[in-house]
Amino acid sequence: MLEIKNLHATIEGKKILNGLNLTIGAGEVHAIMGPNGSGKSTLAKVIAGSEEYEVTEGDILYHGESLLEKDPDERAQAGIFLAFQYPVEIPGVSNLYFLRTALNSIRKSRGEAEISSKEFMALAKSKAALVDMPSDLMNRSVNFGFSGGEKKRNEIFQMAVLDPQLALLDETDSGLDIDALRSVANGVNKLRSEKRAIIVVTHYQRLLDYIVPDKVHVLYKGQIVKSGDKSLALELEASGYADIINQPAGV
Amino acid sequence: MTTLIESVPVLDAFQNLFEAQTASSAEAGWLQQLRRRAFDRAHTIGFPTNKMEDFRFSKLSGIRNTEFKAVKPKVDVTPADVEPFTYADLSDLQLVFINGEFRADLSTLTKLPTGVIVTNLHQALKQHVGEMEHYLGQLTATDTTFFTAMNEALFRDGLVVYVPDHVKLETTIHAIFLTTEDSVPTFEASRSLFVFGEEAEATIVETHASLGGGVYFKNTVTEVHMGTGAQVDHYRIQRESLQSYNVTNLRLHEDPRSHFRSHGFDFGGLTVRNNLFAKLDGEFCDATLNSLYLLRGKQHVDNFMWVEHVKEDIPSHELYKGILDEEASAVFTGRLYVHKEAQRTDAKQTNQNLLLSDDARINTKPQLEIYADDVKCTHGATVGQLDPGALFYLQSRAIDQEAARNLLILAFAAEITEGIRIDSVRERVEHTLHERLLQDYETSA
Repeated sequence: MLEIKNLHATIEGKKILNGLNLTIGAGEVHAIMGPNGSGKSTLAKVIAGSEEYEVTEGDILYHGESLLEKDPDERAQAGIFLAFQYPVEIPGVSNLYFLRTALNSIRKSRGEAEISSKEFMALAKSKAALVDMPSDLMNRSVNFGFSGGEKKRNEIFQMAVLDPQLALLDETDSGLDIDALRSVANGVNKLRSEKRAIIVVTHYQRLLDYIVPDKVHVLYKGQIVKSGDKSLALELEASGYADIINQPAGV
Repeated sequence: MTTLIESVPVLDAFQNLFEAQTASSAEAGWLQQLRRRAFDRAHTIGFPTNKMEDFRFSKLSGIRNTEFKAVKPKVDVTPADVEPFTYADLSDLQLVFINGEFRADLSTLTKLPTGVIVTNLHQALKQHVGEMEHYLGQLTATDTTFFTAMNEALFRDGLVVYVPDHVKLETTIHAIFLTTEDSVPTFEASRSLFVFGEEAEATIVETHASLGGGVYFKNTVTEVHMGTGAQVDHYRIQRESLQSYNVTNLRLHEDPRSHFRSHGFDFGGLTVRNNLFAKLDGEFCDATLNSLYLLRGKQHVDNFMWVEHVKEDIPSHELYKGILDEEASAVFTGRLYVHKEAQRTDAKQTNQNLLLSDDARINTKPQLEIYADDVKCTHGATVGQLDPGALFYLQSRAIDQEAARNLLILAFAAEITEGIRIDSVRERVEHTLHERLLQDYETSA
């Protein structure tokens, strides 16, 4: 589904990604781990199309087509979803209005009719129940005055409603206490499916206790320096990143 | 040696209009005196210049340099012409003014509760002579603004509302002021008077717009008397011609425990100056004075406000929000004056601006003048652009850039639009905002 080839990306001239390669198929969950500043969040944002970054070399293929010339909204319409590390507060826009606008943009891009208000409410209610999203949060302004945990839960709720093919979860565990972490992870697990690929970007192993990945990649200085199965995450938890990043890439 | 006396076209026009009016006037003596005093006062004050502190950033040359002619009555305006400005749920008390004159044939005045007066000024001057002599010009007597004096000398007609003690007027009053296009620049002055008794309640919506555009100068003065415990919502929705000049002056006087809530919306006009003078003169009265302006092209809106806390325990809240695109400019001058006796004043004055282009410009100046020692007063101004992080967030949810941009602009405006308590009016205002953001500037109004 997603094939990243020799990806180089910079922000304000500073190199962040330096020849990253990654392939993910439908139904797979991949974890991207790595120390601070290794480029994990950059990778997620570059895939989603953030204009903060400039791709200087390489390509990102999604269903065999390059994403690089596409705007973030076109990528989202094609089924890519980024759960933000720091979801943005938008006072004055109701969560449900925002989400219905988003869903209708996706439907419109597929040539489908807009969802009616009634149908949308039913959909939102069922998805809220699925990911334990409190109904009072749905009616408030987007993320406005939400706690850290509520913001992350809102991201997963949006993911449930928009039903993406490729979901990028950027540090979804950061700022969550253990109960909130478990609850948010449960929501994500319910959204795992044969058709969906998920990339989980995280600094700590603990999220992966709940969202068990098929593959784990260690990112360092903008490259993947080691890949393995879920046991790699446990290894990292035990010995830290130092052992791995001291080995040359590709060994 | 030669003396150069500079001619000011608008003053020449003023002189001509005043002379023509005086020559044909059959008005009562007190009214003629009121006008004469105002005319003299206007000449003593003189036309404002940018050297005056209260007009430092104002754009006055358009008004100053135009020799306006008296606006002419327009008879062939039909209900169909007025229809786009009406609201189906506000049709029971609908007063229509065309070129400043009341049009009974286009208006609806359903039966009113005993003692309530909702009429036009011309009629009120005939039917309610004593009240008019008592109230008209009372709040402007100390006004030293040129434009107010000009209005007083020349006003023709306007909205008069009187709600007696303990009467809650359930029906919303909707006044529609429309100006038709003329081949020459025209002048009109309308004058409104609202008097609310003890515990009286009412809602007034004013729509100001043009039929066909054109260059005109509309000078409006409104006096508002709020009796003890009165509760009033006032909406002013302005969609004037994009070539027009507009000056409004609202003078508010509040007695104890009254609460006046004003909601202003400026979408039209080439040059707009809104003066608001509020005298909060009774314990525990309250004023909420909010306004939103959306400007494009070379539009200019200049909001000047003077809020005076005279007595103890008075809260006041002023929130002015502006959205400026292209080469639009705006001025905000807000002054909070807290008298020595006005202890426990709780005042908050805010001006926030969203600049959508590099050429848009705002001069904002919130000021406090405090003589009491136990007060809570805050004031602040912000000038910002759309947050790129928020734009990316919306785009990452499949919403295209233009829609995302508009959504954020409407969200910025929401703090004001959500204060509109009449659904149909709020929806119309939101629709107008949308339309003004999307349309080509030249075709919108």
